[in-house]
Amino acid sequence: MGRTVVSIVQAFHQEQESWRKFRRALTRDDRDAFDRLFEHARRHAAEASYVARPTPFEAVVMAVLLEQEKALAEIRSRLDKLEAGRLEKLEATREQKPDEDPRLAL
Amino acid sequence: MKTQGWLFDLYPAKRGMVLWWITEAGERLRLEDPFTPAFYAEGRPRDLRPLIRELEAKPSIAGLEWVKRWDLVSREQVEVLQIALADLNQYPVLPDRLFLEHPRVLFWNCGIHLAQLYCYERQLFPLAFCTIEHEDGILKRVECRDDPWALEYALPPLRIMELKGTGPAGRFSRRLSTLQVTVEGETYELCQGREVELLHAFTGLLERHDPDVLITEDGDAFVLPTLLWLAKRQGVALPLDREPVLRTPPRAGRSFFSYGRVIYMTPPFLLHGRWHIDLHNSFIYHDGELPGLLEIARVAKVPVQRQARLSTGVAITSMQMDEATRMGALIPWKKAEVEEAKTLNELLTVDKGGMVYLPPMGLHEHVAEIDFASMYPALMVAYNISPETVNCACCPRGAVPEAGYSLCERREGLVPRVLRPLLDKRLRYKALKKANEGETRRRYDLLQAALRWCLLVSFGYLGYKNARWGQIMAHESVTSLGREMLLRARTIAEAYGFRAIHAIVDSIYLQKPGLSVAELEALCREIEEATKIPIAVEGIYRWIVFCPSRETPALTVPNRFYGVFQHGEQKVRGLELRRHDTAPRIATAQQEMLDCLARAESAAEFMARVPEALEILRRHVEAIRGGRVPLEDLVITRTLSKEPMQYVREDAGAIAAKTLARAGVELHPGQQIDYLILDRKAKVKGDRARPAVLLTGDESYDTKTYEELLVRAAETLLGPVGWPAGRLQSWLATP
Repeated sequence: MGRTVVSIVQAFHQEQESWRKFRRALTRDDRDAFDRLFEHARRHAAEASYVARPTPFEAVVMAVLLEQEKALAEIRSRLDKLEAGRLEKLEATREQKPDEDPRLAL
Repeated sequence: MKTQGWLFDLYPAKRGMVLWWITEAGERLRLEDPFTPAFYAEGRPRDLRPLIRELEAKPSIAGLEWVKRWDLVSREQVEVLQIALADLNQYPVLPDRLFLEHPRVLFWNCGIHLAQLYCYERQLFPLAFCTIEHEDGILKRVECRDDPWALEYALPPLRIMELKGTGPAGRFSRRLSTLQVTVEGETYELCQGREVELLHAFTGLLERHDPDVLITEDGDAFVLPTLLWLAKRQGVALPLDREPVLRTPPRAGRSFFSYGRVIYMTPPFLLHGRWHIDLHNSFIYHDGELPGLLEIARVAKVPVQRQARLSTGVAITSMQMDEATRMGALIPWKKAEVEEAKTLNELLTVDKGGMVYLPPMGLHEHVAEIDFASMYPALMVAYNISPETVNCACCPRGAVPEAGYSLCERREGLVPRVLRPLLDKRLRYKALKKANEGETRRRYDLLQAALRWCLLVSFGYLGYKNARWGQIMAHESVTSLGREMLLRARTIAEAYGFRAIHAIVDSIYLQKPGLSVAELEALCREIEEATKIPIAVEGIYRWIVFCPSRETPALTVPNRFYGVFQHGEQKVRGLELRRHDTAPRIATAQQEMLDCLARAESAAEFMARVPEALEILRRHVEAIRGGRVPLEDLVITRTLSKEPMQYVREDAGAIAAKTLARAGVELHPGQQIDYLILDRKAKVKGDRARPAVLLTGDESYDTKTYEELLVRAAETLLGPVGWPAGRLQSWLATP
């Protein structure tokens, strides 16, 4: 069965190819980060194929935003937990030895 | 003479059909039935006039007549010229010529296999049980007392002869060194002391047992042509057929590209009044064995030998032509051969418009899988999708979600009419399979599996431009509704508190701690309500592992995973052990590791079993390093994608193919070769790999390469749980 429209995975691939010079000009570290952006897009190929917008780049950007939003939310919640944990610890130390503080004893 | 029996075989002669019957008394009866096949021409009077003048002068024409027939697409009755043929040999060739000379005339009902056309017209089918009256070898009356849709039916007792031949250079030679004949429980080893003796011994067995079926391994390409060769050379008659026929030398096979694979087709060696089934050249026989093949031949009205060699796409097309004949509708004529669509790919993974997600990497538990049963055919039936029902003039638009096409609500289309009984029959066989044990259970399983193949290809034929009733909008409607139903199902599952961790076309993987079968069943009933198509619980996994992509290890692929259901059955997709091009030893090692992991009841137990699986890997690696593995366990199979000499990049497979070609073996794309990797870095290319047929047994294999392949297979299993190749190698390096 022939296809008239290229598959979304091919479309993403072509999009990535069209950024080849941009990628080449990046440093090695940045290049790895750049490649990860397109991995985000491929992670959402099913959704991109379903919405079928004529400009694949839109789907790439949407997928990247989505993955970054998820990563941010994850980091935020871990940070919250971490901070909550530190506060608790701080509280605990204050409760344990309030009287031993030499300054308070004065 | 009046008798009862089964229609065994049928093929055209000049003036009618030859029918072979097996009577209740066990007689093999040859009868002829006069038959005048017809095709139709449609056009403006001034275009038809010269055609009529030309045809009236032809002696091969039995009659011309104006008749009314339905055009399925326009849904109107049209007046067409019926051209009946007195000479059956003209039917396959005359329309081709007329088409060239009368380009403004539209021809219908051409290019149909004559045995099938005969079956549609007479409402007979292969292996139908009938009452017949005959006189002087001519069929006078036939009354069919059988129904192709019957679940249980009697079959004639068939005499089966199995043939296995070996040649001095395997299947590539034109000589036979031994011939093993198994018939009625006895096995005879015929060795070729002298060709004549082997031939006489074989014809003796053939005449004594008079088998109905010859089952061979590689009979199309090797055993039967070679026997024929020997007989010609020795001037001995070889009664392979039940009636004498003139045999032309076998044609060369052909290679073609289909669904991402190159396929080589050997020309069939068909017999008259007797079936020849080649196990190497039969797609259906592999999956459904004899019961499955006969079931398809019956429901599709395709002669057994023909169906054995063709895909189930032929069966689906045949059922559509039969239904159209019954409806009094015209059958469109497409010039390309239908078999191009063979092996409509087993899985719709690549995309084809279905929803294909990427699963989350690694090990998961509390996962269940629910699947829509035969999703696409079920949609075609439930929503009346057929070339002539899409965008009909009579119904409101918008029935198809994304495209907005209409689907006729007033008249059932041809495709659903064909698929409805097929779906129904398969479901009944599945239920019978579940209700039975042992041999009976196996038989029902073979029957349902054969029908499954017919259903599977029905979708591909809807969008295939060379199919008689292919239409892209109908095809789009199916995938569009498929996406819609998958999303509906997933939304309902999420409302039930499940996490949908993966979905692919017609399967959904759901996760929830403490999930139960009862809860899943309730979910399925609600989904069926919302989608109008059946969905069932495939099973609950103890655990499941989704594996990474080879090219992009950060991502998974939709269809590479392994898991174990609660009742202990494994489900594996895309692993090396399932691939044809994996050496047996590598597959064994992977399977052993998998079996070890499969005993784990939970994710935690799985991780606890990893060290044991690693020890299995070490054992196999050490065997390979020590050179102790038998060569045949390391042979790799490759399907050629080009002519041997066209390979530019010379990897081991290409080198082996070239060696064979230089040795005089005729190889074509789509054919398979077996080879061993001897030394990947050898200076002389021919020393790097060797074809299996040329191995002497003294060779040594490339331990490094095979170790790499082994580690890679282990990585597929354990990479997702923290053991990538690098870690495996350093673990192997420390004793």
